[in-house]
Amino acid sequence: MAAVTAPAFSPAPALPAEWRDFLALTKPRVMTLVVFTGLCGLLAAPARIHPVLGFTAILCIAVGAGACGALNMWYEADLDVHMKRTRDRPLPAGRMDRQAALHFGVALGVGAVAVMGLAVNLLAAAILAVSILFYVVVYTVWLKRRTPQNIVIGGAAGAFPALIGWAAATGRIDVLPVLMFALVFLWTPPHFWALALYVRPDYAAAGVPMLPVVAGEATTRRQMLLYSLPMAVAAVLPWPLQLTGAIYGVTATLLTGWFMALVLRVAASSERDPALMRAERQLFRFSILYLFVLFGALVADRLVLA
Amino acid sequence: MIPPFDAEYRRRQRARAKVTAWALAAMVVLFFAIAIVRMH
Repeated sequence: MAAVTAPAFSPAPALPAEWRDFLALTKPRVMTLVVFTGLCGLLAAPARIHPVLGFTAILCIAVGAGACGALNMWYEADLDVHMKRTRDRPLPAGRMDRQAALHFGVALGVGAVAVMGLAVNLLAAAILAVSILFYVVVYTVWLKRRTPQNIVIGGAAGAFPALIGWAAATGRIDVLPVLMFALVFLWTPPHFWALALYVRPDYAAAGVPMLPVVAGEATTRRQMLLYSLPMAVAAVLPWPLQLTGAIYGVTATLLTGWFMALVLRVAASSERDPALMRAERQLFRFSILYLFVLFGALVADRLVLA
Repeated sequence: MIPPFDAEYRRRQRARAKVTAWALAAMVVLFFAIAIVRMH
């Protein structure tokens, strides 16, 4: 197999990188959401796990997400330099040697999977390994620059933590974590395309084939609605299936209704000026809150049921 | 006197070494905790 080499970029900096730059490589803000969904998967599971092992499992999920962030930045430095949102990252800003980012990412990934396997269980370690490889190889290296459906594929990687948390606690996979996986997977396209609509010029400048750049805004708005419909089903389904109680059921129904109203507004809009895309910004911000509250309600519900 | 470039170089190396040492110490504590939990 040919070795993966990152697209050419800039010369190495003269000074060694600061530890803060290594921390920035792990994308701490993305990690927050990953840790949260992983923790929710772990707490929603019907089995109890020792707090030390639970902490270790969440730490491994966080470090695995950090590995994904570092390897993503290692590979995408040539793109990041063109985008306003990303040009101050350690590599495009010239504060770090590219090889250091690669070694750091690989070490974090291997370490996280090994500790998960040794301390928690092999199923959780296997899913963690698959999610890291999926994000780095399938999404970042293979598909992100080739298809406008890139974010759909990336969404699958982001959907794994809840599954890993559940597997860490129980050692198996059930219907509820699969629905949680489906929810995050189907939530990602409307969430991310809302952002992509109003930062489209940035993606166009970097040459990333984001859907609004390649297929236009009307298609993007339609596709957002298309993914939101099954997402709504996945969000509400645990209640009628009696996998959760009314706390989650009512929260999911109300918030999903609100989410759909925002998506419908975006789908019906024909605004072309990114500066005036208020509905899109609102949907992007609400979508983050939506996932946090929904998963929080799921945990509250399961703890009450238990 | 140490040239500013060398001083900055050393400062960064020292700061990284310190963070690495703390991370390793935390891992050792965690490994002991895991070992104790798994033994019981």
